[in-house]
Amino acid sequence: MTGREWRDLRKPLGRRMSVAASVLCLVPMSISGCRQATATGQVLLIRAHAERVEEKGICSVSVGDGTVMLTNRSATPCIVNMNSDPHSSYFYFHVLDDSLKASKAVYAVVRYYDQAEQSHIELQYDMRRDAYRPAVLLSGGEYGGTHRWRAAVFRLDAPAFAGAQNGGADLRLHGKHLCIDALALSSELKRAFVALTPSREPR
Amino acid sequence: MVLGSVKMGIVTIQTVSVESEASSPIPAETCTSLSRHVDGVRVGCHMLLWAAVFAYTIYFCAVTFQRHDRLHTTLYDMGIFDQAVWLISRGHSAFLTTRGMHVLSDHFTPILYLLAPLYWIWDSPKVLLTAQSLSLALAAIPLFHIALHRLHSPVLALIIAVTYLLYPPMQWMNIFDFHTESFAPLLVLSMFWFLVRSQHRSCCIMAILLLLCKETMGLVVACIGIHALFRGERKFGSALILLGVVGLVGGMLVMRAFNHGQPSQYISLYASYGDSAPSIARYMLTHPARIIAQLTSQLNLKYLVGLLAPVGFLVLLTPEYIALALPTFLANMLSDRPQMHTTTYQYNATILPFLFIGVAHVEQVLEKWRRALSLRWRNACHIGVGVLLIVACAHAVAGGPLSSGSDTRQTSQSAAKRAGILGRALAVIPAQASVSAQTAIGAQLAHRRRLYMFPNPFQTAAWGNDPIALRHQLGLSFYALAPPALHARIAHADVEYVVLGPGDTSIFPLHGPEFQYEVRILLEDNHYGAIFAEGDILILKRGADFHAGRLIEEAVPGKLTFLRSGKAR
Repeated sequence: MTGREWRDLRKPLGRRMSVAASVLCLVPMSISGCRQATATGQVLLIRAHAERVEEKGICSVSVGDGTVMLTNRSATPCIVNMNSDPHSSYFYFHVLDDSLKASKAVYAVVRYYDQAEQSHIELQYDMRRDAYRPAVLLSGGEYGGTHRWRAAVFRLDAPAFAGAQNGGADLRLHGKHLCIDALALSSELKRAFVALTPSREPR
Repeated sequence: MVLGSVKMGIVTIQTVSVESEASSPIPAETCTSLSRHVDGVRVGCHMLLWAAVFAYTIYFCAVTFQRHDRLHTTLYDMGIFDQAVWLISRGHSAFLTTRGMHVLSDHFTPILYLLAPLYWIWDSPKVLLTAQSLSLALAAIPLFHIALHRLHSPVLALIIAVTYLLYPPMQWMNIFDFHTESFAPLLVLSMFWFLVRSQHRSCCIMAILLLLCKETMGLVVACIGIHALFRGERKFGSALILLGVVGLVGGMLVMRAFNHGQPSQYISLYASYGDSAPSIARYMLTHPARIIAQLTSQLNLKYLVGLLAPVGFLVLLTPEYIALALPTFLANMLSDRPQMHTTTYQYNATILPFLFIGVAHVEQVLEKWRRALSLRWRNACHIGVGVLLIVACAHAVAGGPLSSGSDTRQTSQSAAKRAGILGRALAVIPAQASVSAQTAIGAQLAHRRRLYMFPNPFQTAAWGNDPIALRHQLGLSFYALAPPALHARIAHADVEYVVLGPGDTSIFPLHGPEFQYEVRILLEDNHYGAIFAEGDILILKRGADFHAGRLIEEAVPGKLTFLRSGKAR
């Protein structure tokens, strides 16, 4: 094929390509609208087991003030911060699953070990133009020194989860001597709670 | 006969038939003299090209050797390939303890089997570094011939070939350890050159060699097959497409077989779109807006500028050649791995040949415009392209590894001191011993059957065919084990020596606090005792006297710096 034939061939190919591209874009766009609706209710979960951590659609991020260790409290596997300074110890998380990014609100349920006193848990998430937006605490989250497992519920309004926090994280937890057993995120609060019920797997 | 004209420093060669010579108004003497001049320019350009290739090879061999000697290469990736080739050369199974999998289950890289005999001659990772530098340099030869064939100007072809040798993304790739993808530019450009000359057998040999470099090379071969189809070589083009598909599928199947039927972990590089190939493809088709947003993200635009600016964005004039690199572009730009969106790693190995082939064809487009605009100066296109390339290239070189970079700024005095300590340290470890080593020093110890990257095997990190292993590489999903669990692992670990330090080198895949914690637990454990502590290097031996080891550690003036602070990843 000569150069001229090659050039001539490119013209009709371009038109065909543009038609094909339009079809490829328009059809899936209509499908994606349907998928958005079905994506709600997805649960992202982190749960500590003996010598491993189960991660579904979300994972931990190691950064200077957010390196974590797997340990036990009251015979329950849990995650603690390795940093001894309680004022600069965080748990950073990166959301792997995109399904929650389009949600108006996401609920986070954290199960934590109540071992400190006169303090509470904070959750900060990556909202557009505010990488460390405090989440609204709906329930729990306080420390009373009861040495029991408790749950805290947060609401994250219009999360961007664009990885703007340290180390590309999307949200972080902070609390005095924070020790968590599980974290669940969902656009439906009930599903997040259900996900935190203990599994049958030996832990 | 070949005639030439010299205008504004650019030589244009025109082929004129012998019959027309008789009627040519140009005197015969002038023709002969001009022909000699043209031949002289052509020969001169060839000599300069070979000189540039030679200079590049020598310089980059020296730089990469120095990097290796000064512990700037790492177990991850230099040690992985070094261990693989060493195991193959010694007839052992190529299960890589450095990576936690067989060499063919990580990537389909049978080319390593072809490199293994070189270790019979020179048993050193520097063989791989030399092969890499030489291969990248030699790619300038087919590129020169492609450009000469298209442009008929040896000077401009030389400028394009030298621009390639000075291309920063290629140089960054060269100095980052060793990767089999580094053979791709030479093989792709050779394929193209043989395709242009219709030497199909040679083209097929290059294609097969390319397929041996990595499983994804099948896509590149298929793309060149599509190009051959457009050139009118339907049978050969179809054969190349078939070969590419067979190579891609075959490579994947071999990897899967070595992974005991499990899919490759690398599918998780696209985890934000799905957890399997079909689900990722479905997501991409059903979420075009998200894909477009990802492709046009700031990171990707910066990446594209980094690739295209050193060639003056000229390749944008020949989109058909960019299209041939589209699979690699998409794979990089849609990946969750940040390193794939930069110009400093090996992920661009199959993009850059097409960029430069595109640049070699730019003049064709400019000539078309010149004719359409009825402009006179034909050589203006040549000069424009040449000057733009020189300026863009010079600008790029200023920010490339030639000027900034190769981490080899360590003073010769301190380097010599460290080399002495390193030599004494390595002499302590027997050749057959199993070792867990910090990544930088591990690259020096890869010629053994069991070498682990610390904290492996005490705690699994970036090891095995597991998506979690890939996350560890990015600083994700790492949870240090609590002291009792870690001590239990240490008690049962099948490793004779642990080598740590120096403190100013990489502690990948750990972060500072994680590294310090793992080392502290290891030092507290009496299964290992220190037998060597000098400078920043500490060697622990299983079963050695723990308390005597404590005394050795304490005797080091100023303590071991890596215990206080680990270098950021």
